[in-house]
Amino acid sequence: MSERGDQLDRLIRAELPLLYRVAKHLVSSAALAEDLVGATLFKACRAFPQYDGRHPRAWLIKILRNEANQHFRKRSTTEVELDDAEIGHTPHPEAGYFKRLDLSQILETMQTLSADSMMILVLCDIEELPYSEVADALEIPIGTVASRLRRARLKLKDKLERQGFGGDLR
Amino acid sequence: MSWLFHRHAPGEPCPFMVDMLHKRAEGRAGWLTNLYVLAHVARCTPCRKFLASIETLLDRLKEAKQEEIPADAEARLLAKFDSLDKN
Repeated sequence: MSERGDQLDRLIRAELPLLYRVAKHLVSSAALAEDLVGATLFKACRAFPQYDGRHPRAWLIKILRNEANQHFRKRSTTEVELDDAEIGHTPHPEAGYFKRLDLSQILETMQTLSADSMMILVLCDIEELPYSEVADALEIPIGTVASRLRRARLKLKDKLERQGFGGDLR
Repeated sequence: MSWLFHRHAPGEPCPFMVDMLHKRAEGRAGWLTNLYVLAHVARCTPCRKFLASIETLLDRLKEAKQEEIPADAEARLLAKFDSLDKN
């Protein structure tokens, strides 16, 4: 294997767990996640000769994001995203019915958000990647990462509250 | 003086506090912002509830990071990767 081949090999082995976790959170199925990561590895090999070597993790996430977007375009979506205008105007539930939230319920609800919202929540709040890396991966300015992330959180929180999980999610 | 510091619709956090509350929940707020947020939420119930809900949400989401890639899936993916032409 050439030196460049070795470089790609090391990169993939280091980032495979991250790619798989991100894919799994996006599509919520182990088989689909594996397909997405497999397609990402294939595209990464093809694109590697043109890759400039900067921000390797962001580069791989970018490829994964493109693959995921193709998947979401094919998927017939019946979920309706809340308008931004609706955010923050939900009547605050009365205190007193604070249900213990299960992580799987949060992740399930996250699946009903748009692909962009899901992606930013997965990268920033689950994987805790730095904003700069997320900005590179999503090809948006850092300021947009922050505002998009906050909108996504509010949408998720709003949906959870509508399901009756209480005003402070406890 | 409370009109100076608490401007919001019933049950909602003060709009001017939302960014600071997110930063505090993320652990990215500087000491001055932290101080201001703590002083504010001590007297503002909607902001206190909002901060608690975002902190709880973030704590739960971080738990999802613990998930490991199944060994068989990892082996299949690496085998697929090894079979690809990398030059």
